[in-house]
This record gives sequence, C-alpha cells and structure tokens, in this order.
Amino acid sequence: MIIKKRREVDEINSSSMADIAFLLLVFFLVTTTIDPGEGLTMILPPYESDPSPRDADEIVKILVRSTGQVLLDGEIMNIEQIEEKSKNKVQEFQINHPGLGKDGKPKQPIFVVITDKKAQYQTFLKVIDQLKLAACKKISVVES
Amino acid sequence: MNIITKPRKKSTVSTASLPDIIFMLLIFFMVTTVMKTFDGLKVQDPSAKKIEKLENRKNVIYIWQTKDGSVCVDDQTLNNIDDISEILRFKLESSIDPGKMVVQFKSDQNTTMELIQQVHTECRQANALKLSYAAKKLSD
Repeated sequence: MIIKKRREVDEINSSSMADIAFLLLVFFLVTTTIDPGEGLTMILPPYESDPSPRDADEIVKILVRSTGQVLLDGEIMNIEQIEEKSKNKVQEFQINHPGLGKDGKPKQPIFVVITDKKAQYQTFLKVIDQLKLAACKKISVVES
Repeated sequence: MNIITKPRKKSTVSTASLPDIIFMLLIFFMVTTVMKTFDGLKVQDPSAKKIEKLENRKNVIYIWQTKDGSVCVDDQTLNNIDDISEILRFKLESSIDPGKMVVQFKSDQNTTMELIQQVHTECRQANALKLSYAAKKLSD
C-alpha cells in the first residue's frame, strides 16, 4: 500500500527578520543628529579690551543709515557693490602696506561698521555678509 | 495491515510576526516622540549668502530676540536685556568646554540695531565671544 505523505510547503525562516529590524532601529538611533542651525559667524572682542588707536589709513568705515542707505568711505552705494569695493580696498591696502602681519599672512585693513540706532538688522547683516564674501578678516562693529 | 504512525511534529511558536511587532513599535515611537526643543520666539530670519553650519547642538546657546525687544535665552524668557550676560556666564561656566561654546543669535530682520547692540554688549560682558547670526540661505 502506498502512503502518500503530505508535501510540506517550504518556508523561509524569518526569525532573523526581528534582528534586522532591531539593527535598523539602533542604526537610526545612533546616526540621527538634530540640525543645530546655521548662520554668519563672528568673533567679538573681549569686553575689557582697550581699543588700541589705529592709523586712519588702516580703517575702512562703513555707515549704515536708518533709511537703509549704505556708505563706504563716505561714498553712497548699493549693498551688492560692497563686496567688489572692499576687495579693491584690501588689495589697495596690501600694496600700500607690504609685508606680513603677526599671523604670517598679508596685512588686512579693518572694516568698521557703524550703524544708526534705527537701522534694520537685515541691512546690517547684508553688509556683514558682503564683507565675509569679500573674505575680509577684520570686521569691527561699533557699539554706540 | 500496518498501522502507520505519523512522526510527531515538534511544535514551535511561529516567530514570523515578530518583525512586524517590532516595526509597529518603531513606528509608534517615531510618531509619538516629541523632542524637547523650545521653539523660541517668533522671528522672521534675515537672509545671507555666506552661511556656516554650526557643528554640535551641545555647544550652542540660543538667544531669540523679537523686534519689540523681548528676549529669550535657550528656554528662559527674560524681562530685562541686562540679564543676558548673567545667564550666559552661568551657562559658560557650567559647560564642559567654554571655549567651544557658540551663541546662536536669532533676531527678526526688522529689529533695530539699538537692540542688537545691547545683545552684543551683553555677550561681550559674559565673555561669550563666538557669535553666530542665524540667517536663512540666500541663493545667488
């Protein structure tokens, strides 16, 4: 007599799926970081520091008026022009003051940003942004 | 006639649905977790091009300032701008590496410079000299 054995359906062993899921969970837990934000970075001078007197030709003055008008060395200009102008100023300064500074790099002029009390933060930040785009190292903000 | 005894099958608990349970748990926690982040004050970020990303959230102190002058440091709302330096000093002292601490300053684009400069002074008094002006990226 022939006894037909019932054919068993082949199954894929899925017990390790749980391990994979856990592994994924742990991986994402470890690798997720929360975005801390972004912005324009500046280094402020210490509070007690005595501003040492500077030569007038070392300084480039930038005035920001309450109306949003910007003046670079007494010249009215668009904010977008500052990048170009300040690059020229740096070159000009380095021609007049050859040699290296204390950090071993070509000397840099100081850009002094003077703002009106009623000037808007956005205008001020645009000016700083332009100076940063022009790779100006020495930026100083005047506190009234 | 022979009596055929079927070999007894070992009974096992099926673990096939275990991953589903774990995935369910994962999704449940993902949906329900609310991270403890203080949204701060409502400000309209200014925009800039030359933006740098901050590195580590642990080393960042956040200051919010609205255009009408209310100020918030991390999750404390201040009544007086002059309190900033005190709080910053305390936070710097209690941090692991005070030299690496960055102040992320978020202010409204319409704030007047008078208020901004008060914050500058406060930061300098507290010796928190690394300042980052929060801004959104402006594409060229």
